[in-house]
Amino acid sequence: MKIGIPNSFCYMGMEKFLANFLSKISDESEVIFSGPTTNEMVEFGVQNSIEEICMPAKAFIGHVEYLAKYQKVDAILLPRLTSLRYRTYSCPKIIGIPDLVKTHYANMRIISPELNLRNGMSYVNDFLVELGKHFTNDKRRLKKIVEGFTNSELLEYFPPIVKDKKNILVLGHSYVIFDNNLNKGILQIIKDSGYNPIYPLYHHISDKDITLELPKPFFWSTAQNIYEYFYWAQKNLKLDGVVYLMTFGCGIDSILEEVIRRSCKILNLPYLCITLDEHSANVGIQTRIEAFIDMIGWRRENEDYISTHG
Amino acid sequence: MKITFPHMGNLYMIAKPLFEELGFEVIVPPPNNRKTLEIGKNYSPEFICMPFKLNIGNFVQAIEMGADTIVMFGGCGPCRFGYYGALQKEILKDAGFDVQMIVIEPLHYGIENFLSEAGKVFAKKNLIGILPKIYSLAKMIDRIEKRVHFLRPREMVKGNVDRIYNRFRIEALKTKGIEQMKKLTEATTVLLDNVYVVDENVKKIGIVGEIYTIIDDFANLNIEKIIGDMGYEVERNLYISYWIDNHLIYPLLRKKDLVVKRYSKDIMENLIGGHARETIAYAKWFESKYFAGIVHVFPLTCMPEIVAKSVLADLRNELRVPLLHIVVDEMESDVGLKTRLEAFLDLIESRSEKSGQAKLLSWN
Repeated sequence: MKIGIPNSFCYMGMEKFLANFLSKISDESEVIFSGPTTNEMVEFGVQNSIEEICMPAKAFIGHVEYLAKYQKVDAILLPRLTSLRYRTYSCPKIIGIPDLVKTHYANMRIISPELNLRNGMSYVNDFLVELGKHFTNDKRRLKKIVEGFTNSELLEYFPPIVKDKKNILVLGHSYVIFDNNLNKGILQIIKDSGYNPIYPLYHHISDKDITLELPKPFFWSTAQNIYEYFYWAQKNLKLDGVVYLMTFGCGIDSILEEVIRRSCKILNLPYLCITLDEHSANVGIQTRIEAFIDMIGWRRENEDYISTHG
Repeated sequence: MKITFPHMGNLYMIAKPLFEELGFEVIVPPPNNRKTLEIGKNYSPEFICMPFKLNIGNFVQAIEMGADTIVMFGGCGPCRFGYYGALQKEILKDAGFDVQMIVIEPLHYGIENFLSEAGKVFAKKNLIGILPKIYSLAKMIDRIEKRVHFLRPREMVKGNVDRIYNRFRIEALKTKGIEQMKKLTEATTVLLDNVYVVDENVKKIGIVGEIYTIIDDFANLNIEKIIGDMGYEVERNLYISYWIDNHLIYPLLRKKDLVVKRYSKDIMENLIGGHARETIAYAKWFESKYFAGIVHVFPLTCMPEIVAKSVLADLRNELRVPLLHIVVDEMESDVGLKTRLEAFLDLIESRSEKSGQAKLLSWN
């Protein structure tokens, strides 16, 4: 059986975890990834989804379309990510995306076990058992595999390199930061200008000492992660600036961006917010980043300079 | 302590007597209007949903009238509403308004937290005596609204019902306490019962969507009145008492809304926040009740309703009724809305003429 997994939106970073588990549980199944986002996929996505939905979700629909059209998969694996962290939820669009795909592709087989870590990380086991049931009837074997499997990391990303100086913190959801088509290669642009981009990852820092400065902890898994990383980074790393990658129509960003902008203002950190949508062009983003970096450069040079003109 | 709270349709008719019974002075912000939205827009993040902006406008206008305490609900769900209170508190503080903001968070954030915040408001008197009265008042007010929707297309002298209803909404501001409010609702009910009715076979339009925008008639540009004046009866799924039932009473009784349970089963099994599941379930329910059309209203960038819209858009071929999506934001104009509604109702008319029977409406 050919099973498709889209490498996009909320499933980004989970592919290895899912593919490893499927290879353990069943020998006949073959996992097919949709790969990096292409312009064609974005085009597909824009055509096949409603206009109000956020940009990453549109691209995601494009990935599903690609899997269904070109790869001829028998089923698509779309876990329902209700929660990825203790006491949080995912965004409503992420929770509802399997339903959305299910109604759009009525003839496609969609496997969507629920992943709900709202009450603790140990609930990964429940998810794996539910997933495994689609492939095997041997309950004892399934249980054994699940128990041996749970130590592996759920989300895996390429970690950033942190240097002593010239660090720029790039904030945003992981599916925007790691998708070069959506963000128009922003990490590379920053690298080319001689600065070092760092970005938040899941499961990095202990979250005990952090949430205190917020008026209220975020109830979205991603928002809480991004804010914690921001908070940790501005305390422990030397940052030259913060770039926020906001996607048009993202509900979480509309609040998180406001909170981070306010903190940057208080901390006196240079801050740039870039709103991405399907119309954003490489050149426009490049210009804005370059202008921002120039501004940081002048700021560094003139740090000790006090104007005599008053 | 001069207490204020945000507007949401007729919510003030329930909140005002409640706080008065508890012994506070209440300042009701001016009804939502253009200026409210303008003020809200100035202070709010750009891409936040419209209810947030209206809330901020309400608060600022109430503060100008002398309010010093704001009561707001919190939440822990995936919908953005849960973070409203926390962010509004910061925004008002930064803008230099000196007010106390009481955000009543659900028990999820700890019972001490709940008690300390809720205690500031509710500790004074015995709640057990007041809450049942408030609940029955909420039911009565919603019944009046339903009655208005029923009478608007059927009344003999046009405009009579609206006159009574507008007067009711203005008079409600002058009452004090539950008893007076109750008397006013009873008097209004009698007035509405005496409206002369032309017995016509009136077609029904169902309204589903996001709770704030379908309950608050400024937010949806009075869509119910427009449809009612065009000669259709409006029925909607969400009322303030439905919210109380569904979020406060049913969980205690371990009950569930049966319509939602039955009609969302195959399409959306899990809760995704907001009222997306209710939207889908009630759209299907209205269809099964032979409604002539369904209007889906929600604010721009509303997270759960976008999923609901997407699902409904894909179900369009299965649903036998015409469906109109209306996205409201601060740019929406009532002329544009009227044109779209007219076109939609024309479509319904022509379809029912062709087939002869409204019951046999079908896209094929």
